[in-house]
Amino acid sequence: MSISIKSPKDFWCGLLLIAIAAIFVLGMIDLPIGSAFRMGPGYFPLLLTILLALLGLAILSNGLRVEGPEVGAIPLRALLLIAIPIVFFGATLRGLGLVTSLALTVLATTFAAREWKPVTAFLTTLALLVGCIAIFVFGLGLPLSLFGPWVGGF
Amino acid sequence: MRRHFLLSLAAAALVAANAAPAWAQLEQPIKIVFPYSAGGIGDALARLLGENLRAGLNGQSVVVENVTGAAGRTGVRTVINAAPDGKTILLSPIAAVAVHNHVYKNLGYDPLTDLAPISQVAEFEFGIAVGPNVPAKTLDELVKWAKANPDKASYGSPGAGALPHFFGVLFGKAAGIDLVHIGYKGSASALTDLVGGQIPIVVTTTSDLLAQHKAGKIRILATSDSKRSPLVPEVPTFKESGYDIVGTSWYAVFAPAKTPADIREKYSKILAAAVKRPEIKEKFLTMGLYATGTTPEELGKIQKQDSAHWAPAVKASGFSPNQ
Amino acid sequence: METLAHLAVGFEHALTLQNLGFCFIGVLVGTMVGVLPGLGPVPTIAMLLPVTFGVPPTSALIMLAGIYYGAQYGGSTTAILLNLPGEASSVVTAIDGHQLARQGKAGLALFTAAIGSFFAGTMATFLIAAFAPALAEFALRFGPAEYFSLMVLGLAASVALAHGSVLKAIAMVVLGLLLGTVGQDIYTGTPRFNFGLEQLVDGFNFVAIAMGVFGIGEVVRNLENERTRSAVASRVRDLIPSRDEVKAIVAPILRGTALGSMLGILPGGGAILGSFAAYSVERRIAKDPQRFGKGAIEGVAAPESANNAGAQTSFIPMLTLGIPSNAVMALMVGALLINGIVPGPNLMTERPELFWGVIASMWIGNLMLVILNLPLISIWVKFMAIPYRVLYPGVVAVCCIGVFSLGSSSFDVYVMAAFGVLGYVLVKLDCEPAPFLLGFVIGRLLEEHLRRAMLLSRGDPSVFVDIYDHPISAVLIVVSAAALILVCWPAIGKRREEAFRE
Repeated sequence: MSISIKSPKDFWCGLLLIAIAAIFVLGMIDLPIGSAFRMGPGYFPLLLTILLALLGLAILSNGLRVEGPEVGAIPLRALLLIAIPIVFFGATLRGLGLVTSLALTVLATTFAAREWKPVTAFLTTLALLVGCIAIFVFGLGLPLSLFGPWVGGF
Repeated sequence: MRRHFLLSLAAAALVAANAAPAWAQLEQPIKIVFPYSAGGIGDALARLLGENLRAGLNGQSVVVENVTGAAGRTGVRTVINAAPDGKTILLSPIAAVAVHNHVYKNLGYDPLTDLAPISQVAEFEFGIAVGPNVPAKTLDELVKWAKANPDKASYGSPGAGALPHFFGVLFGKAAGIDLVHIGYKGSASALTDLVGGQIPIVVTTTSDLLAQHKAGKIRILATSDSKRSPLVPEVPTFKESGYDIVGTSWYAVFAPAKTPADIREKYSKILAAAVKRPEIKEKFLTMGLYATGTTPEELGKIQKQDSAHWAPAVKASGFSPNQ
Repeated sequence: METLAHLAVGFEHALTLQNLGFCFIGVLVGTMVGVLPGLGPVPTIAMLLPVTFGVPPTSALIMLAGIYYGAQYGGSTTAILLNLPGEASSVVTAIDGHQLARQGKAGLALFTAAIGSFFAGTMATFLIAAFAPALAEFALRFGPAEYFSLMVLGLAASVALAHGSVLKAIAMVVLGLLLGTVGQDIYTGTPRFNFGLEQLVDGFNFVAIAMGVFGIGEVVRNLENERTRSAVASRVRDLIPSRDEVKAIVAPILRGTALGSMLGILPGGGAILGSFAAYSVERRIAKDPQRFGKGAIEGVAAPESANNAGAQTSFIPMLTLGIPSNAVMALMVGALLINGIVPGPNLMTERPELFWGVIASMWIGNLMLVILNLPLISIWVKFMAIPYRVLYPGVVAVCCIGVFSLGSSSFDVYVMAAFGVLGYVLVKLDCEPAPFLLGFVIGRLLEEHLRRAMLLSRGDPSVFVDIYDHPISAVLIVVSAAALILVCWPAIGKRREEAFRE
């Protein structure tokens, strides 16, 4: 009997869970386990990691035994053009201030969908910028600076 | 009509509440960094001080920012790294600015030298209280009880690594008893368990214990200052009860190390004058705080003394996170 | 009768023009921050705290309470329309609520949420008025052992949240529990799994994870189906439920209210279980559980009622004992202290006008919320008519600002992005995010109470099943064991494959 992936979704899911369990094992090397009375910081996570690895194995083996659907294509463009602008926002908000950082972030996310025309993308960005500043800064008084030190503000 | 009235009232209040910091975007506001999350006495104190600082600086806008994380270290580090121009200041309780240097090996900064003092604004002390299942009425009786029931003698504190935790260790050593420490997340959850009889003893800020004590649900047996607490003057101190331990905590305002002395003096005068006003003093007292209002030099001294004072307790507790 | 007299005192104070005004401001601001994902009531109340310095304490508390339940209310709107749950309780509402919205029934879902919340709020208000002290006494019987057992029951029930493979649902719960252990250990202070990152010393922020897994993941999912996801205009006419729909939601609202009220009383973290528990119960007793997860109206009615009832009854520990059961309550205690009032067991007798005024205002606030929100629904449903590609940059922008504002932390924004990717991948692999999030929320509580119970019992595990000293815990453990067996039973049988992967 040859081993083949019958249900890719289960197979990859199991693999992902085992990989996550492995990361936690790495993080657990220094953690004292302790006793049942004085449980150490590693006691509870150890139980959970073992459990997660076992569940991952079970799901993985399901993937090898039972027929299941394909995973399907991953929309890499959408995934990256959403995740990266968010990271950009986090990295630049303090430096650039809300106005510049948010404008660039929003403009970047519009590339995630294919149907944007430059003009509408620009106008949407502008509208969102005005709306967000009105609501968050003036409406709710969040302590966010509009222009950060990188663009001559504070 | 009424709908209209309410709506305009709402709008007016919203604008009043929020427009000030928002318009202040046009000039750089003074930022008070509070290194813990919103909610609780310290946060309320930060906002109260912010109002007073604004009034004292002719309406210069002041915002409070909760820079949370790592038990206060993130916020302290934010202030240490900020420009020393008086636009960023820190309000912190004692732990993050005088005790963390004993607790964490790899702190990466020294609060005693990387921060410049402005003013200590308030002091408070701790109390030890017992719940309904402990018959003790004095500290001596409590020690006897603990010796007779070693399998029950546990005490709760608002958090592992918080000062009440260390103070409990000092007490256990002074009394020669082995108390198992049980850390909670904040006074409230420790109190719930104390009132419900789940845990026999809690050590925490006296004011947190006050309402339950007055209602007869728990008993405060001693307080931790060298003099009796004005909140519960009938309760003796640890010292009076025959255990030679003292410990107080405080809130103080700091600036980044190189902030010019004249700016610090100016802020210090405004804050000290504010907390010495009778109505603020009274407000502080219901919050369980005793208004002080020191000069920068006085605060610098207090910071050094107290840092040295807590070092042995931290060591004795064995609490040493690997970081 | 005494209760009625007390309530009369309360309404007398709550119905003054000034207090009505503050109540209105509170629910208005609350709805606003609830609708905006990420923000939540805690930072809002903190920012508004200085405003309360100058007003009478009753008014201040009425306004802050209004913000709190207004936010609970507004949160469900975003969860339903955009699949963006801002807190643990609206995670459940998002499951079926968003499905309904995509089927063009956003109006119905929002209406049901509004009516359910209002009914639950009304019942909970009377419950507080009549039995607050007795309920508080009951809550005090919950120690670490009881909470641990309650959390176990919650986890056992959470598997029912998933409508796919049981195995994957359990794996998601465990993954959530494990991620919940990231951060400083509360008993020893040891940092765990932070891989040298100081930002992880306090663990992951729930809101950042929820926004990522649900919100950002959903955005990517929708972009993937760019061409298939057509905008569904929901007609306002659909707002009024048909007779069958009314019939379908009455019982779930009642059950949700009962469950939520009971769990809300418990200060040690019972409230978060309310909506999860209500959803699980509905699914378990439904004739055709397959509908759940695909737009079952009961899946909105029950958790929303439970959520609002719990939000209301979570005031009980603070009002009767002076012990805040969550961060919002702690802020309110702060507001009272600044006004010179020490909340405690004597509040009821010393300041009856405050105590009963706040309780009465809760009902008034709930009424205002319904009056305010029913007309708004017709505006909200128009959101669903906006083409998604115009909507999603706004969703991303609002999520970013909201999450950053939680703790002025760029790291939380990164976490949101990372979990957006993970959330997308998990759904792609047929793993559902709801049990994962419940596991995450419960993880810390579970460990905290387990270890505390073991410290107190000096390592004797029998505390959890001791019928004499901990009868509540023993019962809860038995019930959870039964629940787990019930859930797993079909999985053991041969028919499992058909039953669980249609």
